[in-house]
Amino acid sequence: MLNNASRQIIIELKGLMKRYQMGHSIVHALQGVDLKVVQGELLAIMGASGSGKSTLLHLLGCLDTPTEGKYLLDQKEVSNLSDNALAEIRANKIGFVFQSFNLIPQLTVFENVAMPFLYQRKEQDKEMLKKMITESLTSVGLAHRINHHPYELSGGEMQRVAIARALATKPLLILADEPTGNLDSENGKSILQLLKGLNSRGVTIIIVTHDPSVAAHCPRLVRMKDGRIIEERYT
Amino acid sequence: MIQEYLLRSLRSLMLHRLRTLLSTLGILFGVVAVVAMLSIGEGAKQETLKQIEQLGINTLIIRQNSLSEEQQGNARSKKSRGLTVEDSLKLNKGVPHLLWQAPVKVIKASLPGTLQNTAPEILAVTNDYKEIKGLRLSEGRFICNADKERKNLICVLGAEVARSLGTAGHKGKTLRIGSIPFQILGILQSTEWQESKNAVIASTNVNQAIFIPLGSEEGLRTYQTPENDMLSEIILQVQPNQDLWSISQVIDNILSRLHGNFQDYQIVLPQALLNQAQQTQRTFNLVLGSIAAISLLVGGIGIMNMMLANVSERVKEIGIRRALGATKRDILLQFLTETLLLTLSGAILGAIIGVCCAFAINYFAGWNTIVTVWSLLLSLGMAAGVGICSGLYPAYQAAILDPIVALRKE
Repeated sequence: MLNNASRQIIIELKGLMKRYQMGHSIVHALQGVDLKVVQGELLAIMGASGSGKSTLLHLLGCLDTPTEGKYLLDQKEVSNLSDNALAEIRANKIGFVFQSFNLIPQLTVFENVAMPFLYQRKEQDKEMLKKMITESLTSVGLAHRINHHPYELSGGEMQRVAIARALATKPLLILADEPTGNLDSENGKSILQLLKGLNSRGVTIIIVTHDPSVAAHCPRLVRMKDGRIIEERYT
Repeated sequence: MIQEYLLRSLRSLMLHRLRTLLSTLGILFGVVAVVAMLSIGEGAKQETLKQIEQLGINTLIIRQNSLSEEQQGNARSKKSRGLTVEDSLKLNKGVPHLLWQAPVKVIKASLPGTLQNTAPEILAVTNDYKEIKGLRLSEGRFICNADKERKNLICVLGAEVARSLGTAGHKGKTLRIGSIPFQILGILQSTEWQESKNAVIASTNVNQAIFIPLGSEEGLRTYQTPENDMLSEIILQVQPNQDLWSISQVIDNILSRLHGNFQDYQIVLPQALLNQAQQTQRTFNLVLGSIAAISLLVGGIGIMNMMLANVSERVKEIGIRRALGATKRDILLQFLTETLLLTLSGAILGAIIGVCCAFAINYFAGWNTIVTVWSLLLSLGMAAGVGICSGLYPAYQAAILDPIVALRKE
């Protein structure tokens, strides 16, 4: 990424700290993380379990707030917002992709992808919504599965639906937590190809993983250990 | 948004049909009890009002007791001749605030065959009877004082009697009672009369009665006995807002003196009896109301239990929804709508069964039942209240889940 400087910075972390109590001891999950992410990046955050990468993901995804430090998302401070304000940011700016797909089994593929719109609190034209959802499903190659239920799909297909769900609202960034962790290597590869394809069309994606082969697909790698970034490199 | 919530709630309830059905049973039975109770109460109330109407307001009834052989001997020894016209005259002077006073004698005599189906009662009365019962004539006039004094052989027919007689039942024709022809002088307007199996006091259906002047029945006597002089009852109407109880004491004093302290009569206070009936009704309502309340309470607990199970089964879903941008309020509303839908569907089903029960009670037990709209609304409202109360805690539990913890749950 040679022209990073010219692009807009969408994430800026300054001295981010996270501590929480666990029994009688205090866990220092993050001990001062500084990071900048510009629009259109494909970034992998790597680390062993306990390195703080999951905590970082939760903070980046506005599911949690830091104990200390600053988090600017889209140039707005979000580190001390209320629960409702954070929910609104999640609904409008962030798309999640999880290791275990996290689709709701009772809902069809279409309804699963439609769910984030429900919480956007915006007046939306029904036809327009339908178009956005179909578009999103088409871009992951599952337009023909629109009325199926998750249990009728393979693991790879479920993860594609999850990506479509994250993508449908056209969020600022997509956070993927071990997106290939529950898939065989072939399906995993195709999911990575899909994410790369989306990235090449301008979608900012952060993948959290402990798998080096996944990280190898990403132009930028951030390695974490003991709550700190220990290595940052562009490939 | 609300539509969305409702649809989603319906879907998740349909997912566990049996569980949903079972958990609504408590609410269902509660609502059935409420609707049935209120319909019985309303029916009883209407019936009481109708009875008061039929018996006349502010009335006291003195009835001749039927006596056994032994009691008859007793009566003779005490020189009591039973309830007589003489008593009636004495009461006229002695009873305070008296408006009207109607001595009534039930006559047994043969009637034309055309009246066999109607089986009318023959009553020897005075003009006051019309006033107390509020009778109206469609034709002719009622018995007047002159008729009584002259013992005129005239009669007034109830509407149904006149109808059964056909052309022979018109004004001016004669009706043979026993062996004596009575001229038809008037015909009453038809009045609404409802026979009730559980009436506190038997009352006469004036539509099926033939009225003759008191005294004119003398010729109908087949043999002379003291009973021929006896009245069946005396109906007294006093001015409004009087203490009927103390008036009944005055009457009792007068009569016991005349009857040589022999109690061969009874004084009936229709209103007092009706009040008593209402008291019984109230007790009944209390019992059924308690059943309804307990049922609704247990139903509420059942629903809370099911919703708690529901929430703990769907922790992951709650986590996903929170991650996708649902606020605590969204989650709270989602589960509350679900609970409300659950209770209301049970309540609506209960209301339908309750209405059926009301009809069944009417059909099989013969009780008068009336289902009112407000009783349905009340029962649905109560169920909704129970729904909200029992849904609030599980929904709150769902809402305060930490999304990170919820997402981690497998």
